[in-house]
Amino acid sequence: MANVVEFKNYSMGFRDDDGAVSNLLDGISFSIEEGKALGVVGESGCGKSMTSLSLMRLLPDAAVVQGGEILFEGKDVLKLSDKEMQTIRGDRLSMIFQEPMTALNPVITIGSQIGECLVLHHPELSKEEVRSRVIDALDSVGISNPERRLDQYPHEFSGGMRQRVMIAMAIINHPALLIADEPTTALDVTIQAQILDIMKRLKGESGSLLMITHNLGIVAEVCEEVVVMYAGRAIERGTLAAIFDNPMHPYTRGLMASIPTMHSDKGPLPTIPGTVPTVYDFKPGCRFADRCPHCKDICTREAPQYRWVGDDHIVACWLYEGEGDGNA
Amino acid sequence: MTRYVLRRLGRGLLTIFVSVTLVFFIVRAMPSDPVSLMISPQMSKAAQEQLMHTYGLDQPLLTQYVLYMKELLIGNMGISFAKRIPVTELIASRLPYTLVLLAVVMLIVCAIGIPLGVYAATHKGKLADRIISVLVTVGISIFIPFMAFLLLYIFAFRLKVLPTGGAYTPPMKEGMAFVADVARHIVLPALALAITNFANAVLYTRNSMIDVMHEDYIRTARAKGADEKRVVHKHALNNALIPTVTVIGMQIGIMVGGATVTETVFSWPGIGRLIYDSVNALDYPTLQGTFLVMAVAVVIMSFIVDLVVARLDPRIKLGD
Amino acid sequence: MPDSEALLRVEHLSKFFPVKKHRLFEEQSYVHAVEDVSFSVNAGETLGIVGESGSGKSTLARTILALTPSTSGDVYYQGEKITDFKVGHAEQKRLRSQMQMIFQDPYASLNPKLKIGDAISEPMLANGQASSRAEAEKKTRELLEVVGLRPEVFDRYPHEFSGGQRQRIGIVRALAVNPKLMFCDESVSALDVSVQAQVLNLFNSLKNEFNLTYVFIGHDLSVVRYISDRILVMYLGKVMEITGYDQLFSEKTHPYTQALVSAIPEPSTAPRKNRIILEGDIPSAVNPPKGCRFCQRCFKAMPECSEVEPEMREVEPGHFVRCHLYDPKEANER
Repeated sequence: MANVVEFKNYSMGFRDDDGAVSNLLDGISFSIEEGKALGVVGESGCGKSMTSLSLMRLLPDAAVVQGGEILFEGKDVLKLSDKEMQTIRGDRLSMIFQEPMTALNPVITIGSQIGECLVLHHPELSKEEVRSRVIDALDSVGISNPERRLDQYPHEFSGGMRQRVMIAMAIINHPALLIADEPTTALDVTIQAQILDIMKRLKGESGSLLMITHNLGIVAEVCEEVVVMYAGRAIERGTLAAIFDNPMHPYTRGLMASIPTMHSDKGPLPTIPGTVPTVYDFKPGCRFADRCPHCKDICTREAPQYRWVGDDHIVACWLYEGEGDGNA
Repeated sequence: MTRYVLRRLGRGLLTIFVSVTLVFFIVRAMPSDPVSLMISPQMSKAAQEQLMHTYGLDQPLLTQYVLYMKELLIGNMGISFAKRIPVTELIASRLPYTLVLLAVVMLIVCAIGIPLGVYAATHKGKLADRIISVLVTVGISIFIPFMAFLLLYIFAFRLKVLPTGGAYTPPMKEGMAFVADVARHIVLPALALAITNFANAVLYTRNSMIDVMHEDYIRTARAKGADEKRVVHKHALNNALIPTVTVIGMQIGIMVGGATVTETVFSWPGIGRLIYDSVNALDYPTLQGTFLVMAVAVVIMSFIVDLVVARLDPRIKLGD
Repeated sequence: MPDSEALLRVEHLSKFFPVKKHRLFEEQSYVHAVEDVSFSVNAGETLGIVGESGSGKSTLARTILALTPSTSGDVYYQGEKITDFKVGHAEQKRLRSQMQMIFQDPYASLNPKLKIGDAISEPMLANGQASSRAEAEKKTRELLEVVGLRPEVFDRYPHEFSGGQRQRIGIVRALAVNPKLMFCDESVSALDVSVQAQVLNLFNSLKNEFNLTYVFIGHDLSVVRYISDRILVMYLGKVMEITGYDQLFSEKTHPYTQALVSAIPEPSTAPRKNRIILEGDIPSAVNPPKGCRFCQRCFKAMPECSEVEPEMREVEPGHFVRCHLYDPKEANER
């Protein structure tokens, strides 16, 4: 099947006030097939949000692209002009953000904020057509009374309802890829369940999904494929079953084990020692080396290569040197 | 909405009442006596007393106050000590000049100041923005009389392209010729008066625009595929204008009476100049009248500002 | 369950906040933040309080600790009435050191200009846990080591630390005054997953080492379940259920608790079954629904639920539920 998006050895970093550039994302490679949902998981500062913003070309001013390609429907978005990028954004490629409370413009009605996506990409539509399609979109994300709510402003909506509005806005043009960056982190548990339910339902109807989250539970619920990120590197990737049932990277294993679930026993939780590094703490070699229980000499000197460890499972770790099919 | 208007009206009237009362007593506390200025020593004692009586200055202070307020209620602001004509008439003849001057100033502020602020914000950190920022700082800190004299010196005395003062060159012309004449005269006072307000407007617009451009909903707009022009005009500007409108609106209210220095330097026959003359002549009724106009202007402007802000920001409900 | 051994007992505690009036002659309405809450905490146990936004779980803790005055009801500590800490000055001081609160972001409560060590040892001196500056400093360094920080931390400032380290500092500061009862309000919610596990383990080991009792407040049921012996489920200011952690999957839980359990996305590939998705938003606590607080969103609602508020009933030993489903049969027929 064709890939909707493919990251090829993509690297980026930040320029500080003195002009010095520090690297965050280092050689990110993964792809999403048509119709598939991929989850990118990681803790704070691992670069998962920068990955999605790189694809949208919405990086902050201080960001510097350091190499690689990001192919979206066959075109390298890094090489597109601003104008070409604008025709893709909101049409073929759309995004939902974490904070529903601030992601909507407070002085514009819900209806015209959603309608704007249509107006921008389908100027041929009449006012009535736009209105009726906006009503349909609101209806499809479970907002009752869409005809009336259309003319209301964001402050008249609860957090959960605003996130539904964001979803309606993102899917109205039936994008080839929908990016959701921590879409439920700011919401209550029962509201999160509603939103995830909507996203699963829509997944069947529209294109592919890129889910950015720190919550492994959400990945298990919504996604078919997983990329685990740590300190700017995609350290392990594969199908949901491969990653969850047979995690290979010591970080993935540690992360999975340290989450209390509804079925955990009461004994001490397995933990990963130390803290999550920031951009300024990155050292040569494997970035997980100083927290890793299996750290070897080579780990602190050289970054591990991607290595196939199963049909649909890739890991970057020195532990598996000499196993599997070699470098990926 | 009706409740809101009524409550605003009540509060406005109270503000005006307090300001009128304060001005009445402050004016009379000035360490000088208007009678001695009006009365020439040649006048007979009887004539002097007659004059005092005409203006009510022989009454006790409180009686004068009650009388004044009574007359004010029926729209009579008294007779000017200096010009010997009703204050209402005097103010009516001066107010249009101040309003025209204000209109020009506001046109400069809104039509150039706000767009310039937006331009600086969208080019933050670039050369243009830095130049604008420096000029704005100079504009805010400049001493207005100095600016006024500098303009006079350059354009009226050196280059001789613009008149030195007044609102028109006598004799008064008719129709379009009069308008053209006033337009020539208004340039310098308008420039002098605009400079600080203009700088303030640029600064406020720029800063609130920069804040707004970092909001999440701006990123949402970009994610929809809106181009920069649309992001700035449709999504950022309305939000950024909310604080700017408040500041500009209140400035207008104050300027109705506050252009005293500029109007005096350029002999512009408006309310500000009238205040200056009335202070010199200890013309109590006129002074009180001008301050009343100022109070009314401030009240009206704050009402208008509230309406505009409520229009820009749907989160604000009038009546709360 | 009046319990003679209870360290803390709360009886019919309520906290209403007046809503700002828009008109002069409007009837005053109140946010029913906490309403008629009763429970007890035994010495040495961990009681979890779980709820979504608006459930009143944080207000409950703040009212017990007299950080905000109660509207009605009583609080007993070691059998003595301490409602709103209306006790003698010396007693109040004792309560303030024996009952400590750990917040979600301890950084907000640390003075950025004060060295960590001073921030911890000052209260020790003031409360009489140390007789001299040297002793306070020694104890502080020991405590820092206990929670896994290097003693050098003593001379550093709050901004130099990561979220997990700050939470450890917050814990040391609470420990420094010899507490008996600790209120942990969303204390691990802001932490990264790998750090959260470290702090949870720390809480458990400190509990044994210092004979602590915890009231652990959180929104994440799987975390609260892991650390707690018993769990109190709150919804819109009311206690819906008090249950042992091992009774969460019992047949006789409250429908709201069932929905909460079901709403948690489990990090496993095992197939999910009978998923419950609640309709609608959490209603406002200003004018809470008549009858059961949960009736509007309940998937098992019956006609009487919107009329009559159910009583708290013991459905199994030590398991209390406020739901008409578990009304005795005779009561239904009558």
